[in-house]
Amino acid sequence: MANRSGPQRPNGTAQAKICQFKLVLLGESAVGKSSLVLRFVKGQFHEFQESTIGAAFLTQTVCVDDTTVKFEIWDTAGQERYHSLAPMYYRGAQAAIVVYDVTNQDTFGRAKTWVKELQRQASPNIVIALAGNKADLANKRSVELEEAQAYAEENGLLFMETSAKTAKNVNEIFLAIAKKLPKSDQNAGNASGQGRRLVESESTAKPASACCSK
Amino acid sequence: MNVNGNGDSGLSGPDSLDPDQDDHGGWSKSPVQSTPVKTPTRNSVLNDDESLVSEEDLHTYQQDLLAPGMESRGDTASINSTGSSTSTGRPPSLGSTSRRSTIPSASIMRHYVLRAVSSQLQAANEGLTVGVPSAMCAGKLIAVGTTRGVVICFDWSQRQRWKYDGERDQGQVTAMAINPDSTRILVGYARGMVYMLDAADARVLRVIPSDAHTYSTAVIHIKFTDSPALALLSDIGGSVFEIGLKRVLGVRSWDCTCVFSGSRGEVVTLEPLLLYNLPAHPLAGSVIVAMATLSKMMLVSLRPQVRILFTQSLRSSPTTLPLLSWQFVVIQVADSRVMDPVLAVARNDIIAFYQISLERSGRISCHGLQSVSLSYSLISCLWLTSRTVALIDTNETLHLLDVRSKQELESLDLSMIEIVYNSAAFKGLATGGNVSKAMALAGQRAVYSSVHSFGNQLLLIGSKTVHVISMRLWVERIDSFVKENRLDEALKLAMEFYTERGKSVLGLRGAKEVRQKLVKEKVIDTLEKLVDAIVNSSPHVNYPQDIQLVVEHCIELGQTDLLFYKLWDGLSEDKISFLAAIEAAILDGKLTDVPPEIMQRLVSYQESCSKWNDLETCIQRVEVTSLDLEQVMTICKRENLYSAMISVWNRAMNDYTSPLHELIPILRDQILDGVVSVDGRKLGNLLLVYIATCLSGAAGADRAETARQQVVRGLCSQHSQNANDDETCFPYIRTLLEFDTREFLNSLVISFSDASLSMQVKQRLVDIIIQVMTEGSSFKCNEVSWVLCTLNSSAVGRGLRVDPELYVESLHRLTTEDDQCSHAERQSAFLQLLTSGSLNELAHDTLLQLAKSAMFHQVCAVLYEMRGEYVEVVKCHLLDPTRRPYIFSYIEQAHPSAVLSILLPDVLQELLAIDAKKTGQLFVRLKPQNIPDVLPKLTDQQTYRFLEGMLEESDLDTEHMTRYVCLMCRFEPDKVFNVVRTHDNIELGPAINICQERGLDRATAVLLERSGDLQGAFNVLLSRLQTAIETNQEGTEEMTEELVTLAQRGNNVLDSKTSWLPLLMCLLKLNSHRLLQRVLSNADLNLVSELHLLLQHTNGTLGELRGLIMGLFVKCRDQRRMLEATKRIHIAGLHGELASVVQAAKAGCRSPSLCLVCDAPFKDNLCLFRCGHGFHVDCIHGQQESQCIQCNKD
Repeated sequence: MANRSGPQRPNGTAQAKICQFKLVLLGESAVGKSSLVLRFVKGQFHEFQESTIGAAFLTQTVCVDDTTVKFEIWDTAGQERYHSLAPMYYRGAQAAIVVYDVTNQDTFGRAKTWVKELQRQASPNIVIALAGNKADLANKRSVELEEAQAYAEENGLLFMETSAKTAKNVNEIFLAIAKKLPKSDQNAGNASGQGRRLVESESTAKPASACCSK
Repeated sequence: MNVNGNGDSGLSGPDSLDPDQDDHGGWSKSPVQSTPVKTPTRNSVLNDDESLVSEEDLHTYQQDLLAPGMESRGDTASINSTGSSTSTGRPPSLGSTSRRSTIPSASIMRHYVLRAVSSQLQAANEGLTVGVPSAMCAGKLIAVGTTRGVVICFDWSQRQRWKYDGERDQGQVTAMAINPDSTRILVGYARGMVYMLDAADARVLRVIPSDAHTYSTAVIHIKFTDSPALALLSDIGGSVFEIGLKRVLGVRSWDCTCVFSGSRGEVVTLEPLLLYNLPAHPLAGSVIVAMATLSKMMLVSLRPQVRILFTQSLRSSPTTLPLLSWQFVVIQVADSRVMDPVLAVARNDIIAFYQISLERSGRISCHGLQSVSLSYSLISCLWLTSRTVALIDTNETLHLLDVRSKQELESLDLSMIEIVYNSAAFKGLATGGNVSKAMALAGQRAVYSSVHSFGNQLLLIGSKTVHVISMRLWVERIDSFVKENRLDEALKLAMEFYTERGKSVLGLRGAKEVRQKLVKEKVIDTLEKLVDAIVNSSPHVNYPQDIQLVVEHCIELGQTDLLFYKLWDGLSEDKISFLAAIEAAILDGKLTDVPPEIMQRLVSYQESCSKWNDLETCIQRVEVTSLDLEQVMTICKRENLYSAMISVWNRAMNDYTSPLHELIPILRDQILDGVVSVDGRKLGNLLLVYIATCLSGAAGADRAETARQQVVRGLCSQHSQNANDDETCFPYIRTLLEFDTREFLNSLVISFSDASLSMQVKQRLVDIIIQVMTEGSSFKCNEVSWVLCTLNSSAVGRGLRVDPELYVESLHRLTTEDDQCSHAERQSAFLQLLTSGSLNELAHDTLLQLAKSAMFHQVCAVLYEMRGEYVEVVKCHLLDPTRRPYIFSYIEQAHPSAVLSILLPDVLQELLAIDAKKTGQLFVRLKPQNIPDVLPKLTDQQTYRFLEGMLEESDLDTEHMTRYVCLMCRFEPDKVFNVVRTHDNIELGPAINICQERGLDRATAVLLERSGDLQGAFNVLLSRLQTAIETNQEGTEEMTEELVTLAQRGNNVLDSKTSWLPLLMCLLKLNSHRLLQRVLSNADLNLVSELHLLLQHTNGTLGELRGLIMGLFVKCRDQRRMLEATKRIHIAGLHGELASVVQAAKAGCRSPSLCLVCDAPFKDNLCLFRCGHGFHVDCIHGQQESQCIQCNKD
């Protein structure tokens, strides 16, 4: 939960503010979603990354200003058969990275449909980033930087060309997302798809405080 | 004003209450003598959780009862919280009261000393002029009376209000009372005086002299009632008086009336029922007092009229006092709740509870509820809450008893208080001891005036100090645990309150929801504290257990935030116990929504421990969004956790085909040459169940259709994914059929019964299955036909088609010999097909032909039976080697037309060949009229058996019997004798002939004897014996026996020369003495003649005859002896007879004077009898003269 260290319950362990965000990676298969996450979380790169089954879950914490942002990353599988899974993950997500392969025009097209789907189906405050991966293979490029950039601006997306292999822009894009994410409590609360849990905690917290103050 | 009028009315005044006068028997008839009444129906009331609502309904009334200063305790603060007191404002002085450290802090009871009051009392007594406390009362004020007759009044802030020391000569204060609104105080003295003081300024308002009640007796109880004009007083004389308080034209007056005279039993305690807080209560307005003497308890109504409501005997040790205490308890009666007063009556070691209720008729009734036996003797018993009573025993230990559960909650030693006893008053020390012995003895341990209950507090006066014992509020109890860092216990206690199992829950009010909410908050609060402690690595935490505890409670209370974030993040090292607790919760199904991060860790943990079963279950239980699918599926694939995989596919990906696509190939690899490995069987069964559930729509309402379609599509797929070119069609169905044809079809058939599965789908499945089964030779022909049967029974009825050609084809396969199945298997398959009705469309003749060609006789039989050709059925049975032996029973039970078949020559021959005897039986039973026709056709052997069978069933006529015997002579000569002997209806001539012919001597003999030729019979037997002797055979004895019996039977007919003699001769040869003896002992032999005969007919020496002659001698000697003996007996008899006659003749007799016949005197000849009767000879002439004609004696 994004703000469990609410004002009503001072946390004994609270050091800096911790914000927790759910982030989902979407994109055509073999565009490098898993590699991107692996690079970000573990700093590793495998030339032959096995294709993901369903979805994989990873966490990584980054510091932005004085806030600790904890990413709960859902790395979804790009294969067509797993597409029905995606809504389950982006529904509660506060951020999404749509990845395409710069060497493959089709993946860019697919990325666009993902963006559309997110804009239509996901939470309205979702922060969407577009990542053109495999930027190290610039010589085989088939999606022009400008084209993607224009598209990103048009749709209000964060955009970077990344390379999991060379680690180019990998941390940067996550940091950019972290910065863009609302870290004030209300916004995070509203953005959260896990509102259920929040509501519950609020409902129990209120009377408790009333009781204590009495 | 009859002030003095009734002054000395200890002797029952006109309106005084005297139970004896009322009905003396009533007392003795009180329901139970020594033990309190238990009404079973009511007994449960106090125990029933539903029936009692602990606090909330009493709230209002308690609220009023509590002094303003105390009021606030109910809601929030402990007595220590200084600033929180309300209007009257408890000053800090009370807050500073020290807590006794002797009491464990978590206990329910809290003990305070009212320091300020105590020290002021002590200070006042500095010069020993005031004395030590002896009585007290408490309302909005606390008043303490002393041994010197002084009354000092304090308010709840422990400030002294006033001191009254007007009456020093009245002895000590023995009883005090304060009225409900705390404006008047009644003070009773040891010498009998009663004062009414104004509570505000100690002004004396009324003085009731000691002669108003029993003169010069100590007042031991004085009580206000609900009526402001009525107070009650009881004195040491045991009498009870009501004091009427009046104020007329500003002049206060009083009058005193005796309501109970001490001469009828001394009342030692009384307790009015106070209802002023419950003006709406149905009992309001009446004054009810509970009183107790040393032997009984009585409940008396004083207003509106004086009446005894209830009495109860209270016998116990004479050193103990009865104790009374009222409390209102909410009791659930049927569908309504009533708040009825419950009286606790205690004496010695028993507490009994009585409920007072107002019946519809207006009568006040009293029921015993329950009673509690204790292990200690009581000196005080007071209610604290509606569920709790405070008990003080003779050792000055305070016990807190939960009434419902009869459980002691806590005990507390009060000996350091030095409770003041009222024994001085009870002994009448101030009035010269004018007290009954019983009273003095019982009053030894009286504490009536020194222990008071006040709300849920207990006030006690010690010799120097005043004490308050209060029950802690539930919050305080939890808090005290928390303070001591016993957080786990605090949590447990809080949970007890939450689940309403807690005892002595004080301060928890309101509707159930409100209470639940309040407690839940507290529990969560405690939980948070515990979590904090764990997170901060507090030394007071018992790690693995407490983590488990926290996890359990968090889940129970839905505090997942606390659990998953605060605790999880806070835990540094030991996450294993956390994970274990989470795992347990998931396995129990209490937790399904787990943060993915924790779930990921849990899965890794389970993986590291190889807890595959738990892992699989967990995966199936938790929300799919909690799972790291990549991680889970990788593990599942590696460890073959198929159920988990199916669960993930279904739930996460809405994918119902993958289980088929992925798992059926695995299953196929597990099947080697038709043998399935153990794992394969598990997987296969899993898949079958999966398919069945999906097809029958058990996947869940919204997904059922998807699941069904996907599964059908998967099953019907022509080829598997990534299939080789040479893969046969429909690999999935084929594999499943190979795995377990029957189970697969069964699961399909189950789903066929679901109407939502469309007809096309079913048809498609049927077609595919048939195609798979029929093409190729991997399936046995009987399996194929079984499939056809199953499909037929489940499919055709539902409008599905199965190509009839398939049946023919399958039949052809069945009927050809070259299949790998046995004949029997094929036949039963054929039969199944036939009976399932799948062959209805085929002509019987075709089927018959097929069946015949394949030698399926059973099938033929069934077919013929269908056509009603029972004769043919019988023939089929005869043909079938397995059925042949049972043909007879079949025919007997078969259709009547089947019976006709036995007349057919060929069938008959068959039957005879199987068993001629049974055939005979059969004929007798079924076709007796045809026997004559049949018999001639049989061979002799068959005829014999046939007749044998017939004979077993019924008797034979003479002709058949003779035939039978004749045949028997041929086939079984040994049996002939028995048959001949037992059956009469045999034609003798032919039978004798044949027997003779066959040399069956015994049978011949029997027959000859029957024909009358005894000699012939004898001869036959004799010759047999002779031959036997000659050839030295066994059994001569029996033969002899036979002969002897025969000879005896024919004694009249047989000539002894031709019978006995030859026999003897014959036996002589045998030289067996014993046999000879046997013959000789036959009585009717003329020995001499026989000897002569013997001698004539033998030429031998005497030696040959020695045995015989010896025998004759012996016989002769015996006979002579017998003769002599007989003679002796005869002579002795004769002699005896003579002697008696002589004896009789010697006896004399009296002669009568008159003849009894003619009444004439005797002249000459008279006949006199021994009986004394006499007659003229003439008179009895012509009659017998040996007997008296009168009396028939000699």
